[in-house]
Amino acid sequence: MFVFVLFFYYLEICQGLQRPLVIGHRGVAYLPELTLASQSMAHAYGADIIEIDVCLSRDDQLIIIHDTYLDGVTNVKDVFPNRNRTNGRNYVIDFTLEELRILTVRERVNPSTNVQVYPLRFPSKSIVPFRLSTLNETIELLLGLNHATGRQRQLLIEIKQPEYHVLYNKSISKIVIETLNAYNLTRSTDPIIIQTFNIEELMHIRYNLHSQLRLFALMTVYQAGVSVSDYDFYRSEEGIRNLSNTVQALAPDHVLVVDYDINGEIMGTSNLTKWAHQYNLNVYPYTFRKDLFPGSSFEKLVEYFWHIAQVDGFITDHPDVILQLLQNDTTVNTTFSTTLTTTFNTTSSTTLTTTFNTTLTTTSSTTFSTTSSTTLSTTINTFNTTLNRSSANFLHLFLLIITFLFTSIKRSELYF
Amino acid sequence: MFVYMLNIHLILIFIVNICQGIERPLVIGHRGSAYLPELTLESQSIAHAYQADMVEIDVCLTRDNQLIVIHDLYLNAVSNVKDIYPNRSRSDGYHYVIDFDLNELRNLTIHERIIPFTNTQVYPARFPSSSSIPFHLATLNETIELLLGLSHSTNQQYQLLIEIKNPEYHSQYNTSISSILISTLQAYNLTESHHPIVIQTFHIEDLLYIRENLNSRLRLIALLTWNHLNESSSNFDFYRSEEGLQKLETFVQAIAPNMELLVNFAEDGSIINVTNLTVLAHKYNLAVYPWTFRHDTYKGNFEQLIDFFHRTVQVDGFITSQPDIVIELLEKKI
Repeated sequence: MFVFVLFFYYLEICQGLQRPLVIGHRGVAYLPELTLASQSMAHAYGADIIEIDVCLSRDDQLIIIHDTYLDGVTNVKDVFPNRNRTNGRNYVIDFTLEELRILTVRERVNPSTNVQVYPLRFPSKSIVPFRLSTLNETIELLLGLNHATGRQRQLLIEIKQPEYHVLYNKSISKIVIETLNAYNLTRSTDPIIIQTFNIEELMHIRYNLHSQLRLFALMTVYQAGVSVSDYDFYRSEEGIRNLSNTVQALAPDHVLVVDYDINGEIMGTSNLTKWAHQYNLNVYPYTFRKDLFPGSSFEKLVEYFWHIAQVDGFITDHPDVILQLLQNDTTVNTTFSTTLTTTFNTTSSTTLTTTFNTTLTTTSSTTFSTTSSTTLSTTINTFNTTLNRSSANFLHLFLLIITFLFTSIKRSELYF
Repeated sequence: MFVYMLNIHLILIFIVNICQGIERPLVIGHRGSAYLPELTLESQSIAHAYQADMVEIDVCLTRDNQLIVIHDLYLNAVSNVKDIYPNRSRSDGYHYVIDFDLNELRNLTIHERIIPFTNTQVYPARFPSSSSIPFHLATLNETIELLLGLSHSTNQQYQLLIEIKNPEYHSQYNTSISSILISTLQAYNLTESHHPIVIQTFHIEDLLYIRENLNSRLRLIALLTWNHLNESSSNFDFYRSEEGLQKLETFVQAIAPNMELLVNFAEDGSIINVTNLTVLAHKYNLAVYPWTFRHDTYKGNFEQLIDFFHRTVQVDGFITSQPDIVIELLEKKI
């Protein structure tokens, strides 16, 4: 019984270290995107990484906002009725930080219709005065929460449209790097990652700005004349090999990772993940939104990407949901394989111990431990074929040795 | 035999997994949680994410009769009021909430609690009080809308435990903070015992007033402490007695005592013995929710503390600054 519990516990640890990363997209779905409250919830839910977007204000301050305009998530039309451009929209880069601080932020609406984009989410009509935050505040929130909770989460900063900011003579990447420098966040081991859709900008950050921070390459479906980078090239084997010199991971639209048919059913996986792993790049597709998938189809989607497509993490609006799926799935598999193994061995052990006297019992228990360890390792190896990480095998072997030693020593405490 | 053993094991695991969901005592996030400046909307959000059953908040009145979510009657421990309104302090050097209008209070930024007029953080392990993040004071309306909005978006109902701070002090200014609170809640249709709102205060007579004069059906909790602390004019010695609890049963649903009224602690934080307060309270159908379990300041073994209150004292819930830690400890035990 004790051995059973021990094996179960160790396998839990193994799987816990191996699960895909969970990245909270704009914080979480449950509060207006990118607010400090939304980021705080992502931290509390256990998201490994919190993803945010930055744009520049007129006075070169980094504002945490997804769109380059303000009308989707703020009350800018009411506060500044005459500052819109000819297309009717109000652009972040036309306002100073001081002006932007006056705005209140709400759950996303379609700017033309005022209809809430995700109806099941936080009510966009609520009077709770959320606010826009700056990159400095977001960094301080992360570091402060890491300190207060003792849990180390990371920040994934997406630089929005560097090529657009260049039109205003602003180098948004340079300002991001300088802001991070001021907080001593410069190394690949610091809890900061940068990503952008502009692949050439990533090269610029790495080779001209000499940053050592981890970089992710965002990718979407290539549209000639529209896309800022040639994603068809960058997701080819040659392109991925090229990227592997500069970035640590790809963050592709999920439609580039698997092939969907007309009905939205998955037909198979593309070569993207295979090639990425070949060149030591991780793959983190976006965006997994539970409220767009009815019934249990979200769970099936996540399982497919995890076990078949074998991605390294999920960019999701619902980090709590995916974390739960990853942990439940682990427990079920672990439990079943462990039960089979140890039940069989425990049974034989019971028979042995009741038949022999104390001295002989010790001998038989050692045999029992070895047998169960071997059987367990077989089970783990079977399980590992789905994991595709050689480090897992080393870890399992190491823990097996420890378990074997431990159970031998603890014989006197075995009871069943 | 093999199949039999296999089935037993599978059933055991199944039961263990189910037990994780079985009822445990309530966990109430004190002022939201310890991890962000107290009582901010962010602190409340994080308590919800940590699955606290209830979030405890405090309310005081402004000069223009608005309910502000703040623990102290003054602003100096958690805000930059000294810098924004340097000339508005009283003779004791403190700036009082009731001397300001809501729109003035909205100009303040909130930070992690410090000892007033020093730069010393009260809880050093918590969120840095020197951070430049501009947290803000929330109103009760905003707090309620956060509660309702989050319940809608997460599909999970958490509850709000509203402490009315010092009703007798507010009476001196000719306002009945309790009446204003009940009216605000009524505007959101929050009136019944099954609604996710609970009210507590140290002034027991105000609870009687809420129940009998304002005719509220909301659940009420009697905060209990020692008389000499002068939290209110109520006679806590009486309310802790059998006769007092019997009287409380007629208008409140629970008591929230300082945890030192339930057990006797030694100097080093270890527990000597249990008092009879919980047994008596349960005799009169009152739930017991002691305060405040602070993991970062408790001198003894926190896990043993929670375990003792759970299994020996048998309280019905925990008011704690670290709801995530207490929940984890309680669920581990099952």
